[in-house]
Amino acid sequence: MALVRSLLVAKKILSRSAAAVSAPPKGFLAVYVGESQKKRYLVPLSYLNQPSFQALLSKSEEEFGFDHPMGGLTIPCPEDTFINVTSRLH
Amino acid sequence: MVKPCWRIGAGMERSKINPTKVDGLTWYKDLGLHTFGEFSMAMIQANSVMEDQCQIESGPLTFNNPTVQGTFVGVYDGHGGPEASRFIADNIFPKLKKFASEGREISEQVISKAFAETDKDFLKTVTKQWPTNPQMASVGSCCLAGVICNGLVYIANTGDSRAVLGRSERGGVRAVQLSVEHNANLESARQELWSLHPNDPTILVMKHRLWRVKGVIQVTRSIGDAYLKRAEFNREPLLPKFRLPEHFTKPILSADPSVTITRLSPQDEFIILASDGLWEHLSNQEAVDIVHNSPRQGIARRLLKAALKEAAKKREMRYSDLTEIHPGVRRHFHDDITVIVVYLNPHPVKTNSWASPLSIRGGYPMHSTS
Repeated sequence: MALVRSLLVAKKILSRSAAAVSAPPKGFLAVYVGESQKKRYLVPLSYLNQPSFQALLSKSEEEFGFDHPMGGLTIPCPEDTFINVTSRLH
Repeated sequence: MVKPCWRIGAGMERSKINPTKVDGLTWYKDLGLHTFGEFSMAMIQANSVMEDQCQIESGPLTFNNPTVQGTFVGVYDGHGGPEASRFIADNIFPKLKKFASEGREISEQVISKAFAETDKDFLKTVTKQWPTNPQMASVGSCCLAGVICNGLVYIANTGDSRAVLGRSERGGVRAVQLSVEHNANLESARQELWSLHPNDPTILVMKHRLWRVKGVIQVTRSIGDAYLKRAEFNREPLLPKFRLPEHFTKPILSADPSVTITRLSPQDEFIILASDGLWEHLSNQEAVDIVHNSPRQGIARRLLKAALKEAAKKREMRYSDLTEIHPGVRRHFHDDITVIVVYLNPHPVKTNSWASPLSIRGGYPMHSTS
């Protein structure tokens, strides 16, 4: 779990540097996570095939429809929930 | 002067040379010939079941008057399921021909009647299926139809698809929107609904930062959506999210198309007809510039790609990665998209389409996942 957390942190750092360039790295996409304040994460494309990640997207669909306010996919759940779900994914 | 419809395309022959193709989630016909010139079609699926449908028909537009020749183009953007858009694709053109045969010509009234009867017949199907398949009552579709005949282009629209004309102008091309749209996020559509339902304070509700009719749907006119047209469907076993809390007596949505008629001039180069999936990523002018500055072969696919590149940019990912996403979850990145480009050829193409009219249908069956 600690390793996973540090991985996610690494992804966050990656995301900050990626924000400056035009395209994110191949195989990744940005997601904005959080209830009021949104944090930008980069997640691997393979997450999109995972039912638990799809469930997070369905939650977001309930809130935003398909029109995401930040442009990038926005997942309006608590950050802990996001970390909990994604830490189980490979 | 109104030009007669004598330019006939050799659609069937061209179809054999350049057939329709499917590549993954994309369906396309890169180039074909209709009565007045060339055309190009492309569609891409994002929903788990493709909800868009389209068609092009070229040749006689009546059953009894061979001099009435022209091109019919339809873009049908379904919602809540594919049944309504498929129903339109099966029915609207034969109905148009039937009504056109009665008056032996094409007119605004003929097109409006074809829309009305298509909606009426779809609602009959919903009634018939209600005991076994009640969710049909929440299926609907936008319907955009273009008829080019007699030097005129009729654009009839119910919903929020769009037709844009490319008109050449001093070295460039100007976008002229031909369709009138019905989406609650347009001021005109909201004013219309408020004036039609002055005593209903919840006729339009802002939800997820967007205006929605009764808080459930963005389009203010459609084919189908029986649950918003007849109160008899506003009850169980229709899913709770489609049921309105209060009874209504007057239909909330109408199937009536807004029709515009434009006399074509030699400056009119082409018309782009597309579902809103394209227009949410490309402006009218961006789209006509792409068409004006690119080869005709595969132009519809080129527009699709331009829209998808925009979608990828918005979602902060690479276009090449976007193309790998499976239908269903892909809806979070873009909608089903249909685009048809119809070139308007000022020079007659003399062949015989009475014997072999052109008929191409796109969007069915495509992929189905759940």
